[in-house]
Amino acid sequence: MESGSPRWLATAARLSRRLEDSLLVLLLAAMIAIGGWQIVVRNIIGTSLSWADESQRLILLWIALLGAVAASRDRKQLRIDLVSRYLSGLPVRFFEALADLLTCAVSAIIGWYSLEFVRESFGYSDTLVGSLPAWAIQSILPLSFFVIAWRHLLDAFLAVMGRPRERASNL
Amino acid sequence: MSFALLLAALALAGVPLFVVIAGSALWGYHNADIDLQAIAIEIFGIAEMPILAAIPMFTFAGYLLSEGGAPGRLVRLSQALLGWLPGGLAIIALAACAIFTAFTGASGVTIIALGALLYPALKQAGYPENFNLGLVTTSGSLGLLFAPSLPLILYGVVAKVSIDKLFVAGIVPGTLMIALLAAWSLWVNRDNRVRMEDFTWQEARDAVWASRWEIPLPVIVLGGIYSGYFAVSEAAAVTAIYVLFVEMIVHREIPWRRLPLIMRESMVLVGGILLILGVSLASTNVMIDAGVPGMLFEATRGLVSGPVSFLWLLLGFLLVLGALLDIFSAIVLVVPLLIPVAVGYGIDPIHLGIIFLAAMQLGYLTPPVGLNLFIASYRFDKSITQIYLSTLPFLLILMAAVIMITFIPAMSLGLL
Repeated sequence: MESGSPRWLATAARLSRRLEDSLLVLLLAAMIAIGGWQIVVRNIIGTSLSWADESQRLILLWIALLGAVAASRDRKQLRIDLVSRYLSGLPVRFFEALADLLTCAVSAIIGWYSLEFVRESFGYSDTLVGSLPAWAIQSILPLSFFVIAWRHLLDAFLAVMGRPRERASNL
Repeated sequence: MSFALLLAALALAGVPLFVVIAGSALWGYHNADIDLQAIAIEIFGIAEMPILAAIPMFTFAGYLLSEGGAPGRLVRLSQALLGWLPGGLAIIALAACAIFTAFTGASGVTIIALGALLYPALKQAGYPENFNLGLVTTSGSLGLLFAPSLPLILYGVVAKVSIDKLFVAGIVPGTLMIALLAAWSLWVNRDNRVRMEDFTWQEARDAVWASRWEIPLPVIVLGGIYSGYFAVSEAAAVTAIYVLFVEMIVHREIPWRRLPLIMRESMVLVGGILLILGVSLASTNVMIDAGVPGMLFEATRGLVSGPVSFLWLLLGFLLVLGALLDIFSAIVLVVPLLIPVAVGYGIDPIHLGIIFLAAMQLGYLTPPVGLNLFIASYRFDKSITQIYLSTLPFLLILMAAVIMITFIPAMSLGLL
């Protein structure tokens, strides 16, 4: 953990990591279980589950976005990895800081407009999977993009300061 | 145009691809006076494609398989059944890697899980070192034309073509690649005195018995899909449940506390792919609204005179693309723009898919960013130049296979 950062921030970061990882694991387990149960119900009991299909699709959205958050934490996003393979030292730090700042900016913009999207859906009281409020399910959009933006802001800062990368992934 | 160049430069500078793609979509919306909220709606569109649920479940099953003893059992089984052939071990490497990659989705897992077993075995059997390096590096992406590989599923989703048909279309081209590489392996080692295993019924029986839980897996997946018993995403759920049962309860080779870690690890790849898919849905619509496919078609018309010259142009383009972009990003970004143009030249979207994936497979082996080159260099502790030179003959053979696959559509479409 970063010695210079306030303790509450470190605690919040740790809790957030735990929460993200646990949710990801639980959702994948739920998706597999629903998929299996659906087959059992259809082939043995002979009915179809009306909620199963839609809930699986929404779980997929959550997995995709939480997986994207995890990928940004591990710095395993898909990218053309020329710079870090063929350069070293200061130029790498420059390009990393640039990449982090851009990622932060674009993610923040997507997060902001997703928040608008969620607000509208809150205003219309939309529902999904029967009676679940749509805004609650859609809120993963702004949340995940804001978390990605925040992490890359810290990463950019660390890149400029010349701190090692591994630290960055812990924040 | 200058904006496109800026984006390309940013991508080359290592900015994550989703940022570059989302940036282009946001810019396009801004220019067309569309509310930027549209990007949220497009990303939410991930939740409107039921077939995508197959991706996390197959990926997880593949990761879990590679963690336990399954790779070792697969190698033992192939060795027991094929070890008596001349060049047997080389052919074993090709066959085992192809089967394994089909399940792990060509994510580089094959080289790590199987290469580590095959490379020392090949060396011990007396094959030359550079041949072994080339063979193992090449094999890491070999099975991606076989069901249920992730790139095949993703192509089906993006191109809106039948995934069942794609699975069938990949069989002959994928087998051709293995056959050509096997023939080459035999030819190169014609003068080598390589130790051959004696075939014994005892070992064959034992190896089959040891793999008795893994052998039904392809049958369950493909049999289930083609008998109409379940859909592709259901097959993924069944695969995940079956692999969980076999690895965690029957074999108990993976400690339970590792399971959440493996689940998370596999979802990192899934998140990376699906995020790019989500933002590409936005950027593709921007480009279609701007009439980019039509412009591309017009532009190629100036360059080529008919389907044959179009295919050559396409091949050249795909080889460059594959050298720069990973297969998943290339599929979601390029396929929607390519399909209308290819259809304009009378090329079947299924055939196009097989060409696309076969050509992108070469991208794993070409510098500057070929993933398998780097994984092999890291895994076997050899310089990237040595890996590249040892892989080159295999790359040329695969290129010949890709050319055949491109110009003989019957190979892809014959079984449909």
